[in-house]
Parts: sequence; C-alpha cells; structure tokens
Amino acid sequence: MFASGAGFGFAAVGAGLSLLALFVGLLAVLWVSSGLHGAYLSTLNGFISKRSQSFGAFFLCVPKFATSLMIISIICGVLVGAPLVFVFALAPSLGAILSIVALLLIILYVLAASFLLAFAMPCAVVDGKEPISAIRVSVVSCLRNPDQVFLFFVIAFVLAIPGIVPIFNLLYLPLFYMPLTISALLRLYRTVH
Amino acid sequence: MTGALHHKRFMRCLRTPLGGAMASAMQAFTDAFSSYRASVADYAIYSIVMVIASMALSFSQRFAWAFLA
Repeated sequence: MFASGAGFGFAAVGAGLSLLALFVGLLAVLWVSSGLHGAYLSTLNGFISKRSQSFGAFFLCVPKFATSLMIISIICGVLVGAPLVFVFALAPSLGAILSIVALLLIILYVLAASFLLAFAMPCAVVDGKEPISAIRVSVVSCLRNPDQVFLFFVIAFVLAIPGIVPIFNLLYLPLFYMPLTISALLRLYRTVH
Repeated sequence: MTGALHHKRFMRCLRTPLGGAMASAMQAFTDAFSSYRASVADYAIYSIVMVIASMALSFSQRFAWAFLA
C-alpha cells in the first residue's frame, strides 16, 4: 500500500515536472520567436527610413523586443482564440442552426479582432510602446482609419494570390510577399498614427 | 512629363472620400516597394534569416513535444 502510494506520488511529480519543463520551454520558444519578429520589424522599419542594419544589431534587437512582443502575442492570442475555443466547445450542445449562427458570429468577431489588432506589433516596435498601450493605440488607429486598414488587407490579399502556385511560393512568399506587406504595414502605421 | 508629375496627378485623382483612403494604403505599398527595390538583397537576407530561425524554433518545439510524449 505504502509502496504503491509512493510510486504514484513519484509518477505525479514526474509528470508535473515534465509539464512544467514543457511550459517553460514553450515560453522560451515564444520569447525568442517574438524577439526575432521584433528584430525583423525593426530592421524593415530601418530600411524604410533608408537606414542599413548589421547582423550584430539585428540579433541585439532580439532581447530588446522579445518580452513586449511576447506579451502582445499572448494577449492577442487570448482575445482572438479564447472565444473561438469557447464556441467550438459549446457548438455540439447548441443544435444545428444555433451552432452555425454562433460559428458565423465568432468568425466575424475573429476577423474584427484581427483587424483592430493589426497595428499592435508595429506600434510596439516603431514607437517602443508598452504592450497594453500598443494594443490600445492599434485599436484607436484602426477605428479612426478603418477604410485604409481594410484596403491594406485587400491589397495584401490580392498580392497573396500568386502564393498558391506550388514551388514558386517557396521563393515568392518569404522573399517578396512577407517583406513587402510587413514594410507596407509599418509604413501605413507611420502614416495613420 | 516626369514620373513624379504622373504620380502627383494620380494621387490628386484619388482625393475622393474613398480615394483618400486608397491613396494612403496604396502609398504605403508604393513606398514599401520602392524601399524593397532599393535594397532587395538586404530584404532577402533578413527574410531568409527570419524564416530559417522560425523553422529551427518550430522544429525544436516539435522535438520537445515528441520527447515528452
């Protein structure tokens, strides 16, 4: 009895430690990934202002932006993803018509939330704002200029169409589409803000 | 007629309620494209660095999941 209880305790502690290690690892990956994204945005922002960037400066930017962009990613992920998960969990118990209506409403919500949060990361990188402040600025800027942001997304969507061509998209998306649209988003943020 | 004058006239044509928005959004893409064309090699290098680093991070994450599973 005692031996089996002790075994269960060790197994639970082991599983808990594994989950903790996984969580810490995921946070570390998210932190580095956010930092890289911030460094990339900062580099493109410099290119728009005709400033060149060295590799050293690029990697030094990683810790500078990592924490704030990670917090923005988590907040945006929760704002966009949590209601979506909630509706997906509830959908089976709602019935056919109500679940379709709920899914349509939640898709509209996700689109609106993504639309309003478009400038959050550019704001944190260009103006160095804190995460909450950057999200607030993004929402206010998008509400003040919805037509410009909408047109930005339309143009970005049209430019993405060649990306459906296999093999070609391996070059088109990372070498042309990604830098161009991110630069345009940064430029638009600087214009509207 | 120079390209700049063409551009100015084009932008003047867009100064309608919808045109103003179009001018700003299009101007953002035009400026971004000019900047991209001016330093295409730099853009390409940092984009490749970004893609490779993201792939490496994604791979390490998958490895960690597989290891724990």
